[in-house]
Order: sequence, then C-alpha cells, then structure tokens
Amino acid sequence: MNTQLKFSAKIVAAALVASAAFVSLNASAVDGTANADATVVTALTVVENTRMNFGSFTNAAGVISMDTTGSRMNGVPTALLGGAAGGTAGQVTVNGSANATYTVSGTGGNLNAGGATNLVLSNIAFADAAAGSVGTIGAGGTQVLKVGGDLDVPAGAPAGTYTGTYTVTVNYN
Amino acid sequence: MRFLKPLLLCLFFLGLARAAHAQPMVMNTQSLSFGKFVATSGGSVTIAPAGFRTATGGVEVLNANTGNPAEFVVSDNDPLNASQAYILTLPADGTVSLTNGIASMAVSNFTSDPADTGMLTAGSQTIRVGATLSVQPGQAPGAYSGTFSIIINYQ
Repeated sequence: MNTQLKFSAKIVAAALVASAAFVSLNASAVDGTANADATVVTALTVVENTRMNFGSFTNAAGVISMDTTGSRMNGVPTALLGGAAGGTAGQVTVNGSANATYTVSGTGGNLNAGGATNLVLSNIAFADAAAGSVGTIGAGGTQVLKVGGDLDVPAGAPAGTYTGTYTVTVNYN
Repeated sequence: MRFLKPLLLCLFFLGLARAAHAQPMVMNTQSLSFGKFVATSGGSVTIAPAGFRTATGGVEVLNANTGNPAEFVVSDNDPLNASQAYILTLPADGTVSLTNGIASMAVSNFTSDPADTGMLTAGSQTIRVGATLSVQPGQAPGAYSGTFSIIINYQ
C-alpha cells in the first residue's frame, strides 16, 4: 500500500506539470527573436594638400605629362625649363571610413592666364602616396593620393602664369 | 486510490498530446541588416521583405554592403499541423531601435512576406521581415545593433 501511494503521488505531479505546460502554451504565443544592425559611415571628403604644378616651358605646341611621382615628360617640340623635376604632382587627402573602398575619378579643365588662350588639362590620374592601391581608405581613416595629368600647350601661347582647377570625385563602393 | 491512477495517466498523456499539438517552432535564420550608408542630412533606409534597399533624404547607401531582410522559419513536425494557419505579429512602431553607445536610430514600419497571416506548407513556412530605419542628420558613424521579435499564434 505504501509503494502504491508513492507511485500515485508521482503521477499526480507529472499530470500537474503536463497540464501546466499545456495551459501555458495555449495562453502564450511562440516568438522568434532576430538581431538587427546598421553601419553609419563617415562621409567621404577630399582636401587638396599640394597644388599640381606643370612648371615652366616654352610655347611650341605639345603635351606635357605630369606623372603621379611629380616627373614631367614633354611631347616635342615643347621644351621643359628646369628638366623633368621642374614641376610638382598634385596631392590630395581622401578622408572616410577606415578600410572602406571607394572609386576616384578626376575631371580636368582649362588653365588660363586672363587672355583668350587656354591650356587644357586632361587625363587626371591618381596613385597612392604610400604605394598602396588607390581606392582603399587606410586604418586611420585617410588615404593620400598623388595626382597627375596631361597639359595641352597650343602653339604660340602667350607667356604668363596659367591657373585653373580640376575636380576629384570620390564614391564609396 | 485504484481508480485514480488510470485517470491521472490519461490526463498525463492527454496533456502531452495537446502540448505537442500546440507548439510551433520559430527559428531565426538571418538577421535584419540595413547595410552601410552615409547619414549626411538624414532620412531613412528601408529594407523590403524581398531584400530591396531604398533610401530617402540625404542618406547615401554604399553598394558594397546592401543589407538584407530578417528570415524566420516557422515549423511544426506534428503531421496534424502540416497546413496549420497562423497569425503573425510584427513589432509595433516605437518599440525597436538600434543603438551604438548613446546614439540610436528608431526602427519602424515592419513588413513581412507573407504578411500578417499565413499557412504552413508541409509543416513549415519561411517568413522574411523588413523595416524602415530613421536616420538623423549627422547621425554618429559607427556600428549600430539591436533585436526584435515576431510572434506566431496558431489560428
């Protein structure tokens, strides 16, 4: 009799647990939880550090190329005054989100000395100043780029100091 | 006491059967991600249940990280529930936000596919959930995170 009583007590407990489980499942719905995320990145900005400078040259028709290391090459017959080292490549700093990749492109323009003659700047090119790959923001949130381009000198361009602008466009990938 | 034992046993097994019958499982198989974007003057980013991301205002999204909807799988291995109809409840507006330190962004307008109600097919249903993220002007850069829950009720 004693044994049977114990057994019954266990069954009662089990039945109570089962009923409780049944009641709670009916009373509350089943839910699922998900994580949600978003990443806000710093806007890209470009700051000019060094002006691109094609240096001095004669006014015979020709194209002067400034490569991204700052070395000049001339298309004859234009003569470069000061040799290959007589100019300076441009330099810009791109600020953005660390390690993000982006595209960069350049648009040239006209260099003018106040007269009717324009020296046309085109083929804007970029190189990473630290010899890395162009288009990746460094761990510190910046990438420094050297900028080169081609300058088209028309025959008989009046002597003077020609200035103009080029545009650098950056976009996150 | 002799009559009590069979009665209790019956109650016990009835309870087990009913409990199994009433229990779907909801598994989260993919997070909701709004991807990467630049806040600028603020606006919103919306992820559709189908996965499309759209932005409004000054928000500029990055193509490298497009985000994705959350994905849940509702399942029930009881053959009796193979075609069970259910009601889906999504989070109410004002209840979910993503935070990054003291900065936060509200998540609202939850949408899903299938919407609101559905029916298990062969005891299972995949539910994709999207929402709209509100981005303040100059929202602080950083990684924001949070959680949300959906509720499944059998009809």
